[in-house]
Order: sequence, then C-alpha cells, then structure tokens
Amino acid sequence: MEWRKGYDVAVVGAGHAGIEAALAAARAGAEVVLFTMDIDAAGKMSCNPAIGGVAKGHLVREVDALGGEMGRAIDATGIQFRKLNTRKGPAVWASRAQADRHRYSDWMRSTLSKAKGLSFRQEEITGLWVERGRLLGLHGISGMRYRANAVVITTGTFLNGRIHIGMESMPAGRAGDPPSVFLASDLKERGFPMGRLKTGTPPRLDTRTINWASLTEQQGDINPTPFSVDNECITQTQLPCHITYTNAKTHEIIMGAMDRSPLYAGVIEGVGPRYCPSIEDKVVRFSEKERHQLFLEPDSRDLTETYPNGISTSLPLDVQQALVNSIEGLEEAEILRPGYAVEYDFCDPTALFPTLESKHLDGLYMAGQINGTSGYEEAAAQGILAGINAALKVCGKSQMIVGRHEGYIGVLIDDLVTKGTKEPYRMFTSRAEHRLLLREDNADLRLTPFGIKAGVITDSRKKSFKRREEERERLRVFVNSRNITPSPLLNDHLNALGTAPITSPVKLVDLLRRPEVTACDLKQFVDNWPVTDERSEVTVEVETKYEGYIRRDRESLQKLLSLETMAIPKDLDYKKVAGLTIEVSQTLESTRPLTLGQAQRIPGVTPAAAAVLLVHLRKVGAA
Amino acid sequence: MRALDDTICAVATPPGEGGIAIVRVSGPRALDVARGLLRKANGSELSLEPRYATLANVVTPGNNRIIDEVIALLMVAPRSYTREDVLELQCHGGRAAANAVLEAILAMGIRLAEPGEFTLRAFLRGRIDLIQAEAVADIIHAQTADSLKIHEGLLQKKLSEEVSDWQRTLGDTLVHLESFLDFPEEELELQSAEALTTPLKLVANKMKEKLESYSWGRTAREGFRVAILGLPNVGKSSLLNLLAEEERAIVSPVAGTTRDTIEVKINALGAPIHLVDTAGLRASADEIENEGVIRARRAASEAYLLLMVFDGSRDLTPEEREEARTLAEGGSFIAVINKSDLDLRPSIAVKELLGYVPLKISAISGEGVEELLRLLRERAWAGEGPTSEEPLTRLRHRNQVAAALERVEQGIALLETTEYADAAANELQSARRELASLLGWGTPEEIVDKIFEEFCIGK
Repeated sequence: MEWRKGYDVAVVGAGHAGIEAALAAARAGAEVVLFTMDIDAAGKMSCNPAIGGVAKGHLVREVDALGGEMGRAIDATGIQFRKLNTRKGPAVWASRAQADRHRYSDWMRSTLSKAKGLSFRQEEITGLWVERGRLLGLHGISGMRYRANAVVITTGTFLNGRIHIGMESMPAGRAGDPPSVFLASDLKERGFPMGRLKTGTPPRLDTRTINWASLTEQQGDINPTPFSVDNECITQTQLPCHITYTNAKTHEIIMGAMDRSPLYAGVIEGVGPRYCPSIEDKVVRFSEKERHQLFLEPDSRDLTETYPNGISTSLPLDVQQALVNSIEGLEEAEILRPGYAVEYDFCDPTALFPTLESKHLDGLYMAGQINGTSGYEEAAAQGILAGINAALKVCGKSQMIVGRHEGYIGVLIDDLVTKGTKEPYRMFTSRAEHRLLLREDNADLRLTPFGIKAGVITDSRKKSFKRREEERERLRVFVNSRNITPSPLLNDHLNALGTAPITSPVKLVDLLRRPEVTACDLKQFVDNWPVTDERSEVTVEVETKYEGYIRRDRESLQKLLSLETMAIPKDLDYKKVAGLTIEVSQTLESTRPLTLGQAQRIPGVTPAAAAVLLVHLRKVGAA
Repeated sequence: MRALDDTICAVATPPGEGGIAIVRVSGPRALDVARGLLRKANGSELSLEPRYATLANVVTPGNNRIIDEVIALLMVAPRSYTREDVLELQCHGGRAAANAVLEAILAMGIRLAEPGEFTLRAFLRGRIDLIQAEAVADIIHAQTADSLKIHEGLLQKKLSEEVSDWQRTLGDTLVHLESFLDFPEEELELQSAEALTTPLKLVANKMKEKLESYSWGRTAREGFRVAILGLPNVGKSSLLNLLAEEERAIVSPVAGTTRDTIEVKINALGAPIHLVDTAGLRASADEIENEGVIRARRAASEAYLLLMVFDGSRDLTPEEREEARTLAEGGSFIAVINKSDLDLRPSIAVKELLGYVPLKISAISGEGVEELLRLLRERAWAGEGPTSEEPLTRLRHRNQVAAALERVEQGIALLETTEYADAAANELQSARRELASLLGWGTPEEIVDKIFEEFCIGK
C-alpha cells in the first residue's frame, strides 16, 4: 500500500550522516522524510563521546560552513574543549571536544523536530522501491510504500550488523538495537557491490568505582574557539579528563585470552580500521611497547558513565573486567556495558559519483559508514553533501562537487569514489595535497559560497559571512599599510616572545611574519585595530606567515586544476582509446571517472596512461 | 598523435652498407607478420620459438617468391622493448634487402613507425623512464666512447636509481612528519629536528654534487662548445682544419676569408668537442664581414670556452689587446700563439695581458696540437672526466634536481627554525614531485609535452 503523501527526499537512518542529510535537504526547500528504526536513538554517539580531532575538526567546521548542525550541537553540549597540535603549524591546528552524549542526541532530536519541511518517522526500511529500473521510493516493514524522488541511505553499522563479545555473537546494529537485515539483502540482490567491515568499542565504566585521585588530570582549554561560526564563545563549565596506561599485567591478560578473541580466532571476517585498533590488536602488533595510553572521558554531566578511550575490545566479558582492573586507577572499576566488535555491510563507494549518487540507480545517494568510512565527522560531511545533492537533483539544479583543494569534504569523497577502501576510512590531514589551504580557520571562506549557491544558507548566516569576509579584508589592508613604532613596551614584549626588538617604524605585516609574533600580541600596541573577532585575526595571521607557501601551493594547484576541469564523456569507450593497456582500460571502464583529474588518481592508472587519455580527450575535443 | 596500440614497423639499423640490416615490427599483429611472411627453406610454414634465433626466408604472400633470407627473433609481450609482441628480422646488409622486406610488411597493412615511436611505446608502457628514453636518443648520437659510456649508464638506470633513492629518503622522513601531525593523541614526539634533517641533508648534499656534475655531464651529450676567436688572419681556420683533421674551412692569406661561422665536431682524446671557427674580429666597411663579426661574438657568448688565437709573427695591436681583455673577462678561455714556427715575441705580451702563459702551436707543423687537445679534454670534462658516477647530461635534469634541492633545503630550514612541520612536509612533498617529473612521471600534461618534445610524434 502506498503512503498517502509523497516526498522529495527520503533519508534512511538518523545517525550523524542521516541527520545532516535530512536537515540540509529540508533547508534547500525539499519535502523530506527521515526514517529511523528508533526515534529515541537519533544522533546517538555509539562509540567515543567526542567530536573533532585532527582533520575531523576540519570536517566539522566545513559541515558548519555549509549550514550543518554538528558544530552548533557540540558547542552547546560539549563538556571539554581542546585545541590539538597547537605547536605544529596552523594547517594542522585542530579542535576536539568531549560531548555530553545524552544532551548531544537530545539537541539533534529537538532540532529535527523543529525543522521545517521535515517529517521524522519510526519505520524500518526493508528495500528500495524500483520499477522498470527507476527509483520510486522505499518499502517499509509496516507494508507501506513511500514515494520519494530521491533517497539517501545512511545505515551506519546497522546493515546486516552483527556484534561480537568473546566467542558469542548476535545480530545487532549496536548493542541493544536490532540490525537492518532486509535492506541489506535487498541491496545485495540488486547487485550493489557489497563488502564487510568491522569496528569496535571499549567497555564503559562506572565513574564512581574509579580511583581518580591517583590519575593525571587533563583540563580543557581556557578560552576555546567554538566549532560553529554562529557562536561567539563557549560559556559552559568544562569537566576534566584523566590519563592512565596499560601495563605488563594488562598485556599478559590479553595475550592469555587470545584463543577467545573473535578477531584472532577467525570469527570476524570484516576488516577493521588500522588507525583505531582494538587493544588486543595494539598489544599483538606493537609488542615492543610496554604500555598504551588511555584517556578516561566523562560521557555526560548527569550520569556516572566513563568512556575509557584506548581499550576498544571484543574479548569475553570476564577478560574485559580483568584487563580493566589491571590498570592503574581502575583496580576497583566496574564495567557498566561490555565492549564489543561490530561487523556490518558496506557498499563499494567506487560505485558512486563524486556527488554521492549511485552510478547504477538514478536518484539514490549513500553517505556515512555504508560508504566504508569511520567516524561521526566523516559521516556528517558525506551526509550534508548527499542531502544537498538529493535536494538539488529533485529541483533539477546542477549538483555540488567539492574539489580536493576546496575542502576535506572534497578529499574524503574523492578518495572514496575514486580509490574505494579496504578498511574503515578515517580522515587525516596527510590525505590532502593542499593542506595549507584547507585550514579550520578558513572553512567558511572556502565552503559557505557553495552553500549559498545550493540555497542552504540562512539569511542571517549570509549576513554574518559577509561581515566576516569584510573583517578579514579590513585586517589584511590594515596590517599591510599600518606602521608600528618602536617603544620600550613593545620591545620588551618582543624580547619576551624571543624575537628581536625594532629600532625604527616597520609595517605591522613585517612583525606578523615572524613565527613568534601573533596578531593578538600586536593589537595592544596599535590604535584602531579594525576587527573584534579573533577568528579573523587567525586567518590573516596565518596567511601572512605562510604567504610564500600558500602562493606556491596555489601555483601548483593551477597546473592540476586544468586536469580537474577536463571532463571525460560519460559514454567514453575506453577500449577505443589508443595506447591504453587492457588492464587500465578495464579499471577505467568500471570506475568511470568524471574528469581526467579523477582518472589519474585511480589506483592502477599510471601517469603514462593518464597522458594517453589526455591525448585522446584533446583529440576528441578538437574533433 | 597516431594510435599507440596498432602495429608498426621500421628499419632499425642506420642507412648505408653494413653486414646486416634489422627490420623491427611491434604490436599486436607482429605474429601475423611472422606467419604471413616467414617460411622454412623448403617453403613450408614455420613457427617461431620466442627468444630463439630462427633461420627463415621472407617470401611474398601468394606466390612465395623469396625476398631475403633472414634470422628471425620473436619477443612476446610483455617481455620485449615495447612490452608488445616484437618481431625482429636480421636481413642482409645494405638498403635494398631491408627495404624489400619492409615493403612486404607494409603491404600487410602495417604502419611505418615514426621517429622514436618504439621508444615512446616503451616509455608509455612503463618499460623505461624518461631518463632512459632520453638516453636511448643520446646513445644514438654519442660521438665518443666516453660519452657513449655515460649514456649507457643512464640507460642502465643508474641515475634513475639514485633519484629513486632520494625519493625514498624523502618518503621516510615524511612518514615521521605525517604521523607526528596526524596522531597527536599517540604521544608521538617529533624526532629531534636533527634526527629528521640529517638524512635530508645527506640527500641535499648528493643533489648538490649531482648538480655540479652537469658542468661536465652536458659535454657528454651536447659536446663542449669551443669558439675560436682572434683578429683576422691569425690562423684560426688553419687551426680548425688541423684539429678536425680535414680541410673544413677555406684558408687563404687574405684577411677576412672566413665570414660565416663554421662548426665541426672533433674527438679530443675522448671528449666530444664542437669547434666553432669565426670571422676575424675587426671593424670593416664590408657589410657581410660585419655580419660575420656579429656572428663571431654570438658564438663567443654561446661557447663554454674561448680559444683565443694570436699571431706569433707580429706584435699585439692595441685593438687586439682591447679585444682580448674584454673576451677574457667574458668567460673562460685558452690562449694560443699560432705560427710558433715564426717568432714568439707576443708570448710575453699575452702573458702580461691575460695573466696566462699561452700555448705555442704551429698550425703548419702541428707542434703543440697534442697539448692543446689535452687542454681541451681537461676543460670539457671540467677536470673531472667521466667517472663511475652518473652525471646530469641534460638541462632538464639539472633544472629538476635544482628545483627539488631548493624544496629540500627549505624543508630543512623550516624544521630547524620553526614549528611549521606542516609547511615542511609540503616542501618535501613538492621535492618528491619534482623528482617524479625528472623520471617522467609528472602530471599527464608534462608527460604529453615530453612526448612531443622528445619523440617528434604527430607534430
């Protein structure tokens, strides 16, 4: 039976990808329905209660620049904020925050309920509704068919999910929640290329049973910069985290229980993330390390649950309890919930265009862990792009593609659809070849224009964006034209910073170029400093210090951009391209890149093969 | 550009008379050619064992008329020069036999290869890198045994392997830097700046040494350009003829006989030298002679070495002194006093003028010529001579290594003096890209440019 109302965009799954997809599509003016198997579980942090980190913090700011919700949510519900990598160069400065995970998901739930044009429904989606090769909507377990012009699938770890604790295993998308089995087989039957991945989570501890006094405390930053440009500052009080370590005894306990590890006994087939390994993986692979660090992170303000970051495990519960108790400060700690591993299905993302739309079924988009990624931020980044594109598709507008030089979102999606992934994909700054251009401080400058073009930016945000743009420009002009005169106070300050004093007036920009000097250091010595927002100061300061590097980066970018803009005809017969080997033409045939730039990044496409393709495209273009 | 996957053929040996001439066929139809044209002595079909030499007759299809008796060699893809099926037919020497065989192959619808096309295919299929492809061209043009040896070394990937070593070192340092940047939670401390920069400095030093080798490495490829300069009638052309061992330039007692520049390649005890004879330097009312003087000065500015010739039979003229002083300031030079069989008075004057004891030679008797050749050789190899080390032979190589070196040095400076590990990593990545371009694996556009530059294809 068909549901009485049809939708522009239907989103399956209300995790971090689905929420951004649904909200963005609704902001773009689409009629949206968001399906979840459990309304109460929307926006849940199934693993680490934290947002941001290196490269991930960059993604959150990009989601925010596109009008997304993640930044506002963590600003409002964070319980500890820290800027990482502060002594490593501005391109890798990164924000991270601990969340009160209950308040975080409440915030999301409440935002969804207030969003205009968005219906939120509890329904298990069992399959795609496809007729004569056309996507018409979705089938629900209730027997209803829902008509939708575009569909975004964000199933997380639920697609055929199975969790493992020791040698026990059960079907589940997350501890306590049933998996999505019908949709998994529907996709498989339709010929989507599916694979299996694995991820894991540590046991949660009862806060009251931890001996805090013996542990090193780690406080948050004093005046943290918010994730969202909508917020001026973070006002809530912050909670500390604590640090402890595994030891020889812990490692002994783990090694002694390997025969009961589903990872090592061969029960788990899915490939886990190398970058976020379980404690049993760490102990085996880095046997020379005497100890591994743990962060004990509070999971909420109100409840007594602690997240021990660093001991993700799927060992049996008795072993988990023993290994926890072997750790300093956790001698008496009680496990509230066991750690576990979860295996789930994903779809090979090379079957998607860089718009996240399926190459095989028009109007079908996928985002998040179903594309082989790991992390809330990676999920949100794909979700917002898929949601925007689904809405644009429905209105017949051109799709949004973010370039690798424009955002980590671009790097993330291009990597996925071009190279695919064999393990859960996590974002790193080293994945971006134009890292110096892709900083946290300029995320809005890079991506808000995309959002404006797509129609997902509110009027008040447009106004504040324009104001920030003008502020930065004003400050640029100011530091480049204004002199600063030597004074005992200024020279004392410069000496204290460890840099040479000045003897005659110099341009502000000349002092700002010095690595030791920040904009903040200078403004106290000049009248009429033209801006108030520290974020604008950071941008201008970094641009000044990195001027030469940024310029060279842009120059090398120009060379590459000509490749990015060289489109490959969708129906190009690679077999007829003279000079390509059979292997390369088959690889290209199956990936069908949109541009020459994408083609040359496909594994197996040699530089020479890309050159041959370039010659062909020029010939075709000339004909 | 022509198709790159059809079958091509060409006579691979140089024109002229020789013991054998080789016809080469490459591409998917190479086996067809073997099947269609090759027969046993008794006229029956024959099958070729890959990589074995087989005696066969090349016949005209249809009437089985024998065109030539050949040794046939079949190399099956990818184990061949082009990584395609390759058939090589060793015909009888001289042009006629090879051409007749080639005609028969062309008649089967096989295309005639364009210059460099076999090497182009080897490059595009990844069989050789760009340095090797360039070496193939340079081996063909090598003038002396020493420059041949150097280019054989390049073909053997000696330079390519050094470059790959540098890339590996840069890559190893990048691994440390990138994990330091991306994993702050792992308590990774950046290795001390010294530990990181020590291997980088080693690479930078190797690059610097390599750059120096270009001063003599380019001689191996281009030859060492030497301009012979002097007043009219000091015996420049006689000297050229003597060194070239042939009557290359017209010699007469009339001053100003040489108008245009004359170039000749000589082998100076193993060093390839390009000698350029020039018009005598003097102000003249003759328009043609004036043009000759302009060309002489241009030749001087393009040469790596000036061979200044003075007449031993008379004193230096004031204008000669002035010329010599100016030329000596402009570049490196060797001064010779010609006509040593006559008188040697100017020798002392030249020594005073240029601070250099001139070499005495006689273009007539040949006295001093051995010594001059030795000097030329020494200058051509910049005192280094071909060593076991592989030099940079092309300006392209020099420029790429220089660009990579600049990035590495910038990276070292950033690591030593700032916290900007992200910018340092960028510099090292740029350096790796420059080295990739050196090997020919830059952007597709760079590769295509190289193809047009080096292989004269499809212009």
